[in-house]
Amino acid sequence: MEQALRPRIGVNKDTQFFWDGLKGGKLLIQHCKNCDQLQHPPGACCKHCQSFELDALESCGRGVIHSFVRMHHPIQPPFEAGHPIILVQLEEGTRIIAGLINSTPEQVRIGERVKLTITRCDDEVTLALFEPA
Amino acid sequence: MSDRTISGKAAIVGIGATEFSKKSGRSEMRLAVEAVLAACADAGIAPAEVDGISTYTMDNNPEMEVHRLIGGKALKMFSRIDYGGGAACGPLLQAAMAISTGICECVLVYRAMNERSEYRFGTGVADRGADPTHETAAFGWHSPHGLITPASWVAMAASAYLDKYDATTLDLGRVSVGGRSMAVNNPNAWFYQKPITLADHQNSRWICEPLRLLDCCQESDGAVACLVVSAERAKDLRQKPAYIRGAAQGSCDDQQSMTSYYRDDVTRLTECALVAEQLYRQAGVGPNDIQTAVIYDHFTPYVLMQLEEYGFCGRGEAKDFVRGGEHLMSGTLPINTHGGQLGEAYIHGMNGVAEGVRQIRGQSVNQVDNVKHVVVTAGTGVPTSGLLLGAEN
Repeated sequence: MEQALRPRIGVNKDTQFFWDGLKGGKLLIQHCKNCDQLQHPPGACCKHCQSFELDALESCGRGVIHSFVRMHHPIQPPFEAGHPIILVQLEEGTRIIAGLINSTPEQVRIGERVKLTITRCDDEVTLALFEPA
Repeated sequence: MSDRTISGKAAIVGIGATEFSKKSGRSEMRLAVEAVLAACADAGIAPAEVDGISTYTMDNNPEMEVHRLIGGKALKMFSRIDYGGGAACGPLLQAAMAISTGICECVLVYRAMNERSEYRFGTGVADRGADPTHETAAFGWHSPHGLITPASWVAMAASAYLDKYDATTLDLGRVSVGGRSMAVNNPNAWFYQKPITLADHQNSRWICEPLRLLDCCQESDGAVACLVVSAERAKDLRQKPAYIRGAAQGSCDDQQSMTSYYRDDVTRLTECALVAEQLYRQAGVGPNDIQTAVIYDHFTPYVLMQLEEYGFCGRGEAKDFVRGGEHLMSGTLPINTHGGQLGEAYIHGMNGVAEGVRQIRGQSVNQVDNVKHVVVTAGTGVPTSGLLLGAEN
């Protein structure tokens, strides 16, 4: 049987670096060279100072669960009913949505520590997933 | 107050609707025209007089075709507001602006959808194109993780809100039970004479924790239309005018479409606060001057958050508001007296505008006493809008 694929990522000229970073094993956060602030999701310019001089820094991969849900309906493979999805507050200060894997129900709580596990899901999609730290 | 205001310059003078169902059996365009003709008849205005139209995105009926079919001759303003249900009150702002500036004499606002029978509105965005648009890139932050439906996007904000303020899913249930208690008396509601209990809510299946089935509005087929004219002309028409004392849109800090997870406080709907502030300032009234409100209820958590953003209770106190039953007919601010989108139908907020008008006229099935001002809100989690209707100018 063919592997069920996750919904696709969305790539454009402003976000390409992020997805390329994951394929290279790095979770990147967009950084403004002018004002030194970070932003996620990345944008065409810095939302703080409107500079176009942007680069990226690599996240340490540590964070805490800022919020979470368990998805039940509709469910399509490869997802299983009740799978947790979390909003991670990264140590660097930005937040990111991610699947939580290898967790027990008690570990899916606001404030719990999580760590990055970059996961190649298929040929096109490599994601920043997280697991309990 | 500045002369540069729309407040009190225009009024909603006609409302019309089709039946609300799960399978209309008619085209969306036919639904639109039926509702429009009903609104014109309600006002006593010939359809051909319509010279302005405003609707909002996700409606599939072009303004020009509606105008053509109702015998229109000269359409001087047409606009389509973005962000779906968040725009529900935006067209009324467009109407009030067009009339107060002399661009139009008679502006039509409509919503017509077969969102249940011809497509499923709440399915989400699992399948998207591979285009490089902002929207596709934005969905891509969430959908590969399975966060693909409107319910799931709201659930993420709700989870943080419940945790921060020690509210529970029972408080969400109180919103749902309240809406259905209103629908019990509304023959036009899908859930007419079908009340639910808190236990029913708690026993309904998970959609996306912390949201259960009974936290989610319906998918409906149906149409609603409103007709807006100047305050002067409104006095001479069939119905008691519902004056547009305030109309506003709002989009705020780190705004995303349903996924504003990156702003300082995930439990805030700052765009609603921006709308509320404009409405009250335009109308020269405050939350204590509102006798009843239509609070957009696509999902129950955002009703709690809106009650706070519109100033009907303090921050984090919406749970106490609903525990005290203040949102019910016996409470200090009965909300969604038509049954809301949980109980009547999901016409993307336009049925809520119609209910606001009925409360001003004294025609609601759950009529509140001595209504002077009504607040109507629009879809939240997205750039939003709101309306403040007055019985007098």
